[in-house]
Amino acid sequence: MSYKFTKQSNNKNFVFIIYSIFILIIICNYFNLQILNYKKYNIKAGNNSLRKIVLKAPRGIIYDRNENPIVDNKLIYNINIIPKDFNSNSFNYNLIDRTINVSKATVDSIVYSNNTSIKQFKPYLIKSNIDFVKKSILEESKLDIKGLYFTNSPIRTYTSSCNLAHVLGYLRNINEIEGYSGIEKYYEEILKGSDGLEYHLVDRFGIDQGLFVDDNIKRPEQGKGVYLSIDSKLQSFSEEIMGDNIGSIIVMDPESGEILTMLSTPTYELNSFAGEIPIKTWNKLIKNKDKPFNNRAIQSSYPPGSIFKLILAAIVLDKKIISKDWKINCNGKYEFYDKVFHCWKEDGHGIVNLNDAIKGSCNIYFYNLIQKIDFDLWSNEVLNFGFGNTLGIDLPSEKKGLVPNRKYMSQTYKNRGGWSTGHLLNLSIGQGETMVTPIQTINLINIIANEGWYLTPHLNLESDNIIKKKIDYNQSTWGIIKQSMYDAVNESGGTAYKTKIDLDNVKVYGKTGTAQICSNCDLLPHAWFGGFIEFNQDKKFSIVIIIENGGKGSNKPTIMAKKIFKYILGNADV
Amino acid sequence: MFKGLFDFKNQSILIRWIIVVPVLIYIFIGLCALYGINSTSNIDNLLSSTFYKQIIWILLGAIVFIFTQYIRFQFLYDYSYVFYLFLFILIFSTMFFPKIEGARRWIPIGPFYFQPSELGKIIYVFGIARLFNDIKKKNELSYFFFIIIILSLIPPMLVFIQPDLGTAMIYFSIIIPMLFWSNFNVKIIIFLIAPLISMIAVSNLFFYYMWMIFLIIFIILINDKIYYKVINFILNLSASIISPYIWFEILKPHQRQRIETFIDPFSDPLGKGYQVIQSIITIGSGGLWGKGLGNGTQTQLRFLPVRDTDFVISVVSEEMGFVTIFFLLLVLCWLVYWVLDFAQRVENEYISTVMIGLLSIIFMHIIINFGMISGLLPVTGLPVPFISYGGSFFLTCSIIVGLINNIINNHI
Repeated sequence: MSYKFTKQSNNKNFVFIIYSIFILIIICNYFNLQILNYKKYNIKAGNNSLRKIVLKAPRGIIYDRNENPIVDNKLIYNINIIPKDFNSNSFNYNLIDRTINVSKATVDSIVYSNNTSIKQFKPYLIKSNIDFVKKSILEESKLDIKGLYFTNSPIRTYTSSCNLAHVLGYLRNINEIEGYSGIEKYYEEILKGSDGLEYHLVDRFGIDQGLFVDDNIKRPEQGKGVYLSIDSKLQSFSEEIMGDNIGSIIVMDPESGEILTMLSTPTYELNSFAGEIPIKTWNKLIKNKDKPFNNRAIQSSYPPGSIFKLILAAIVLDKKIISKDWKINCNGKYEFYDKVFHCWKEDGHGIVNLNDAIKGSCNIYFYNLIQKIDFDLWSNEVLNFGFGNTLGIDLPSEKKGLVPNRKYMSQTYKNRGGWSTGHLLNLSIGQGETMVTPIQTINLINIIANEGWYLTPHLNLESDNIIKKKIDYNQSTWGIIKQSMYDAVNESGGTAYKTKIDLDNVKVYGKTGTAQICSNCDLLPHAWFGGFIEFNQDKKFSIVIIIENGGKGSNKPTIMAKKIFKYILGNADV
Repeated sequence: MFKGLFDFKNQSILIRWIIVVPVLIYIFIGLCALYGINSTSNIDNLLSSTFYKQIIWILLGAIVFIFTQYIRFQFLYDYSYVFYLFLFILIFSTMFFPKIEGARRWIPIGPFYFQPSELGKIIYVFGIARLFNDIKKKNELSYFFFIIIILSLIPPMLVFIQPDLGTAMIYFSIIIPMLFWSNFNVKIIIFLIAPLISMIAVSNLFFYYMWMIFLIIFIILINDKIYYKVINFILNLSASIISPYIWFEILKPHQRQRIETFIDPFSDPLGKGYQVIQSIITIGSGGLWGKGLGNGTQTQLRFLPVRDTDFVISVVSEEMGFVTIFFLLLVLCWLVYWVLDFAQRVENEYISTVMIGLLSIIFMHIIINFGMISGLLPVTGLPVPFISYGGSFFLTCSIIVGLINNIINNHI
């Protein structure tokens, strides 16, 4: 070995500086990644490994006025399969086929089409909406169905005997499951509660590695309950009474504005909306020409028929245009210029005063009355009674109905030769352009029952949106109207005589309506009944029934009203 | 033949703690990382975990360290060329053995696979140290110089076509510091590097023109013989011409892809770029202090590939934070400084050059690994000395440190 001493003294420093520069570059790079860009990469790492799990909050329970739950929650189950854990040799295909009706071919195709390295760790849905019983059956033989996993989701269950579909409404999965109609929609904010949130660690295969403990965990909070004014027993009794008729029944407490019963037919089965509605059922419902989704109580407007005579009578009495003793002679016909108007009673009512005219529902009397007042006065007063606008009930999509005035008539008849007083004669008896909803009609009954005021009709007992409105008419006016309605029920010859209940301490008031929907056609008119019952001095309940194409108001609805009144009397604690 | 390799008469073994302590720090951090990786594993598997296996390798490494203290450098010097030829034959012979994972790097011996390029790094250092030392004209270019350079390029070329890009990079990277250390003229070294830059610069025409303008100015300004200038220019030109040929014909598709994804890892985030992206995210999310041992989500949830070998530093970054990385690099700085300091004091130029070669192996492994997992260099599959899990590489590194310790004890 030859020894040399030719090393330059600055060699060491030079190499050290070069190597230090390398080290410095590396340090800068790590400083850049770990300090300057820490936040960015920390979020990326979080997204990599954290899976956000939303824990659905159970919706609030809906109760009736007696605190019986009407709408509750239950769990339904989805069955998933993880191909990795699946073993075709030990898997009990029979059991699956028998309990949840999923064939061997289906299971195999799901498993073998997802059997690749990464896909096989993920769960694949094989059946949704399994109830608790079927889930229990499967769980008993857990070892035979290795690879199957259950996930659950809460759905609505309807625990009451009444249907109440239109009031309650249903849920739909739009972006998330939310109230789509009825109370479920209107009180969505109260009912929905707040969803919980937790994070699970997930490895790169997507396999759940357990809960990530963190301050951000949020427990789900169930929605608050809603207490409805509905009396579920009265509701289901009314539903029974309604039967196959198409129309609506509303029962209210006029003094509180609470709705005890509200139904609309045809209806639909709410339980079929829990979970996933079968497409067949859905198509049948939306193709039905009777529109079962329509809540007729608030969304259908009808001509009011003779019930509207009550308003005209109240106006003329209060404005002292006539006295209650003002009489006319009804001979069944009323000639107005070149046109002849008829009373419903072809022979005529003879000499009638106001009381007789309401009791017997004489058209001719009101033809005369409407000519005594200004049209706009009539329109404005009708608006005051809550017609022509929404009442503010706590349900979505309430309809306004229609109350014509001078401007409206001019516009409508502009191209049809204009309008004349002759059109007004029709309005006087609740025919013609006027359109009302059943809820507006029962509101009219409430005003009369309360002698001049009403509260916003509502379903939620805790509703904070109730307004009191007053119609400032003389006390005597209401007395006369009420007496006439009493007579219409209780005196023979009264159109609502079939509603009469012969009991002490019980007073029934009523007015029928027969709303023509077309002239010279085969369709039967809509049958109306509006009235109220007073018993034990102070207890009052109002009712409105409409039956589409139900014929004369004095028939079907009066009988139904009597049954419902009797039921109320029999269960006087309502 | 190996008679005289060891001299067991030398009774006293002095451990130079100034060199060994940095190594122990690396070993300790490595064990921490392996412990963190294995801490969330099944307890039944703990005894067969990489953590316990690594402890056994460390103990074996300590024994190897002791053995290297008895090595006689005179013997290594005498047989440098023999060993060099032997290394050449071994690496060459790997080509006749079957492919494993797409590469021919191993020679099967019974149940074991021997990778000659691994221990060969040390033999290579001794070989080229001797080559560089045997040239006496160090201030001018000669034919002899070119023969030396070609001879020293043969082993890395063979390793490169195995293919083993990582190890080849280590072989290449130690040539320059050793040339410099054996007192070759800096000018010569620069002209040696210039063709390499020409090869890389040609991938982008703009950079290539800039580089060529710079090079021509440099060649004109430098005070040297005219034929020497011409040769240099032709050398650079031909380097840039063969570069595309190497890229398209010699490089394997997976190597090309590695380089492509290195340039832009996010271009193929689920394919080749996946490892680098996950590694960068892993490092970045560690922050200053780290997430704590066993708490690294990237590591524990296996977003990070080959987490106990090539990407173990990503684990360190994630679980122990920037402070640990900074500390490790400071320790490396310390080690470099003291080894250079001792190398400067070694009286024998050959042994001094060997020392630089050995230091450079360790240093380049660390720098290239730290660089590649953080996106600075293409991913080539290179472990970190003393930290990565793995037996034969750990033993190689133990020999290197042992030799450095031996040199300090016996040649200053």
